[in-house]
Amino acid sequence: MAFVSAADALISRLVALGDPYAALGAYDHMGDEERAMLQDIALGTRRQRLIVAAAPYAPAGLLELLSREADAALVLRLAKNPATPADALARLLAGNPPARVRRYIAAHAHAGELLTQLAQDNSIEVRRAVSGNAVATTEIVAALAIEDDGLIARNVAAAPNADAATLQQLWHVGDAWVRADVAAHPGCPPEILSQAETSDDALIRRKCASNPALPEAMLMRLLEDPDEQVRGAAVRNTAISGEQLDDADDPSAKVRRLFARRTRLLEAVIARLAADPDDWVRRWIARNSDVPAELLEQLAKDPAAAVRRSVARNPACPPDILSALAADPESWVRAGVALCEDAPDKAIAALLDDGDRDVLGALGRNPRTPPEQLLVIARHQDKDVRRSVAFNRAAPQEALAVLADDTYPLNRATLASRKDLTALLAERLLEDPEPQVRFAAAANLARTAATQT
Amino acid sequence: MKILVTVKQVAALDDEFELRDDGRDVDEDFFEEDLNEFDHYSVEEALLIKEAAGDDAEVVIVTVGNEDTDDALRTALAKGADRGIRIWDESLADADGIAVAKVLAKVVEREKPDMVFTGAQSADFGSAVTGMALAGLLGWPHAAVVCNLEYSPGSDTATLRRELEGGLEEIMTVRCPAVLSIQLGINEPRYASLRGIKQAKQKPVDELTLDDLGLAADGVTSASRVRRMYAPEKGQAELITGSAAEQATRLAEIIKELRGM
Amino acid sequence: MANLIVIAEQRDGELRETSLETIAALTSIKQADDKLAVAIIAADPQAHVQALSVDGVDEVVAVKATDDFQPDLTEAVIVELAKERKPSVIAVAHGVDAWSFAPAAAVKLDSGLATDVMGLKVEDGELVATRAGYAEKVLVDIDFPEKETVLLTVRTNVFEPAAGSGSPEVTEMAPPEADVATTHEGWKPPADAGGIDIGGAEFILSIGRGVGDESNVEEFQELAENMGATLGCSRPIADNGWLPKAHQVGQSGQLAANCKLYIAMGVSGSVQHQWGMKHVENIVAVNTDPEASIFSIARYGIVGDMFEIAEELENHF
Repeated sequence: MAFVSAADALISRLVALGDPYAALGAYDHMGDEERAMLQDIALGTRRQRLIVAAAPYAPAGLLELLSREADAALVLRLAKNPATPADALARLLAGNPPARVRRYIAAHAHAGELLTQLAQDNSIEVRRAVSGNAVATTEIVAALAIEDDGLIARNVAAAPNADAATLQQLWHVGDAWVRADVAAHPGCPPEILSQAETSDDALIRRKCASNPALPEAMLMRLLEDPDEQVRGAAVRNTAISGEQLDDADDPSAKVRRLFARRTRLLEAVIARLAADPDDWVRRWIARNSDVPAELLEQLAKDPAAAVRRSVARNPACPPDILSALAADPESWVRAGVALCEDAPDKAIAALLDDGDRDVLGALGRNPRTPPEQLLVIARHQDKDVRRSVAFNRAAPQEALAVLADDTYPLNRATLASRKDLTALLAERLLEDPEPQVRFAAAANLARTAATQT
Repeated sequence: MKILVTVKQVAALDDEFELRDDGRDVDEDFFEEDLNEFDHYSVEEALLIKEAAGDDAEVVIVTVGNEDTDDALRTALAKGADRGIRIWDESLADADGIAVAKVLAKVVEREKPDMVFTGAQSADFGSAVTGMALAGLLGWPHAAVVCNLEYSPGSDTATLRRELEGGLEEIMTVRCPAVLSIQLGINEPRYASLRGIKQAKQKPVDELTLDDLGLAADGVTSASRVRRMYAPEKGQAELITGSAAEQATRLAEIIKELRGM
Repeated sequence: MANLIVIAEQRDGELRETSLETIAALTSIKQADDKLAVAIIAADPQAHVQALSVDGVDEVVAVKATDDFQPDLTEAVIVELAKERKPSVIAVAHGVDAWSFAPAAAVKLDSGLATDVMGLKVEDGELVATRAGYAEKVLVDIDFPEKETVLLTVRTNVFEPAAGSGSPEVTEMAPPEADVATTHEGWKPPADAGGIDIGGAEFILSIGRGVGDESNVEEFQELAENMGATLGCSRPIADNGWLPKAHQVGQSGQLAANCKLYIAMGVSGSVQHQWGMKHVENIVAVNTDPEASIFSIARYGIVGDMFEIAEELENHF
């Protein structure tokens, strides 16, 4: 059985190394018996237990183990750690921790079941944290909404699980900020939306205009609102399709910029926006994948370099325009072409001798860059340019081997976290001076060993 | 030609920490230790001078600390320094910068370097004491917060710039040998190569006691004593609460106020 | 009765305002029968006497020498004053010049020493100085057992500069013999910032990994422009090719050297990023994770979604 031998070999190696970071990296991919051995290495000292308890990359199994200890410093760290699993949080709460710890648990994404109990906590801070937790149920949110507390009211008005009855109640008792968030809530009852739509307060109309569940008729009316911010919010709202936004002649450039960001706009609207005097309007439309090739060609000659860059980054940009932009005088435009995975060979070839580090960094990431060029980039004198090759899924082994010896620790760490790292390189990186590198290398080796069953 | 660079292993604290039982320092379980950031620049400056001078120049790294501080020493050696010296005695556990300088002065007398570099300050307490106290004990010329240095080995003066408040710099010549404290940004510190890190493990490190330096344990007195340590009342950010619209409104006010808009 | 001494400083003939803060620090612990003397070394020390004749000052000691900063001379003056007057405290502002001479003077005097002092008090008749430690995460009370004289460097912008006007006695002191090993050669003014760059920018809006994708970067670029800010970023954004490398703040990028206001949105605050901006006086952190380490160095914190805050912020500029 290959699994047994590969895992066994790795585990003996990790035990011999005695490195807590390598042990942490391998933990999740190992069987129970191996985990017990790794756990002793990873949690050997109090310092190490404190580090693991606070680490968002720590395996849930180890955090669960640590939650059994009565060390107050560990408890605090575990309550704050986003990786701490539900059963560990439950154990922490059962230990009657101080209010500060209960507050962290109340805000935790894994707190689910515990929120019912925490919603009745005697500390207002804890109850506020519950009201701001996105996983709080409709019932919990409704119960908290009764409290006369401004912060709880704000949290509940923005809570995803707040139901119509709760929102209705908040609309009647809340201040303008609370009412504004009620008007923006997808669960907001229609009668309140009608009131919000005609409110004297532009904030409330604006929030209403941003409501994703807003009836089409209301949204169409808000598109004509005298306040540019209200119109802007309506233009952003995808409750109506781009085709219905047929009037892009808004006097406010800010609103026209928002038009230019919408998809499925009418051709005539696109054409008007492409000729807009405001740079930002053209910049947004140049990035819009609905823009036809002729218009992109025109925008590729725009005097504003940022507009040309946007054309280069437009997923619908045709190859000949990309080739033309590869010769742009502005390096950031050329870097945009160098980043395109569908750039024609001609464009890539034109950029190979570019001296600019943004262009080289983009080429380094691009799987279309020829392997021999990636090797050159992996040896570049600029450490950030070199690192780009570690992100390239088509990087040749030779270039990756160069990065395994890189003097910049982050470049080795980036390499070590590649999912396709060969066992040869992972073995080399397992004894790296940098903890982060050893962690990732061990994770790689352990994952491979686990899949060899 | 020899340049001596003094380095320190410094501790950074976790966001949450606990004090030691005697209340005079933080429990070391909450420390994350590393070579002082400023020392990367002083070591680099010495290495640049060594490399420009050719092979007959020697860079010696010195630290005062227990065996755990070997890591800081090896980090500097891995970058290319030639050898290290580490001095330790349990009586130095509570030593301040002045006491450390008294120990270093004996090392300088023994090593007779042409130049001594230190970091402008340490990242943990930022006292900015050790280097210039060392100069005072030796009676050597000195300058602090050096952000530019022109020095060729063997020369009896160096020209330097000191970084003053508000970005102003003073151009100054100083007689050599001198003790200079080196500021961040004077150069771009290198990262050690993996080969350098391996080689550093083989490089000679002299481990000296106070006795080796002719110092008695009670002869190394500090100029200060920690009476107590405690967490400041306010250190946390002022939280801007409320709905997103409300938070942004407050933030816009802050921006406009600070930008005079 | 005790003698207290402040070493006032001038730079290029201009009195340093921080000298008045240092006078205020010592006035705060001065007893009725104590005597506070302020020494000034300058080419024309008399020119500074009036500005130094503030509340609490009993004597101004004028040392006629040079306007050039010479650490050796300042140390000799401190040693001479200490020998003559046996002061209990000598204080100077914790400025770059004091970094050069205060520790050297302290070892020559065998005095007590505390630097960057932000508070002073007397406990059971003993002087106790307060300073910060571990990157400002703790405060430390320091005392000076068996030291007759204590030398202090006082943090600037903590004590209100001493004001008022008194009529202190003015004495002249001949500069003591000093083996001066440094020569002032000139000044180099701060580099002119000019253009849009991270190092020169006073107002930076910085975005981190939380920004998600490339077109969102454009949205923040637009916001930055509307607010008059320079757009900065953390490493992953530059690594993805979404912003030029020149926008990256941090250890492998740029130092926000002249920044006065730094708004970090969706930046977790890695050590590398903090290197480039932690010194900024006004840092605002916006992050959904209230535990992101960026909050530990921020002056203002907003726990919230960077996109919502940005969209709302757009309405104000």
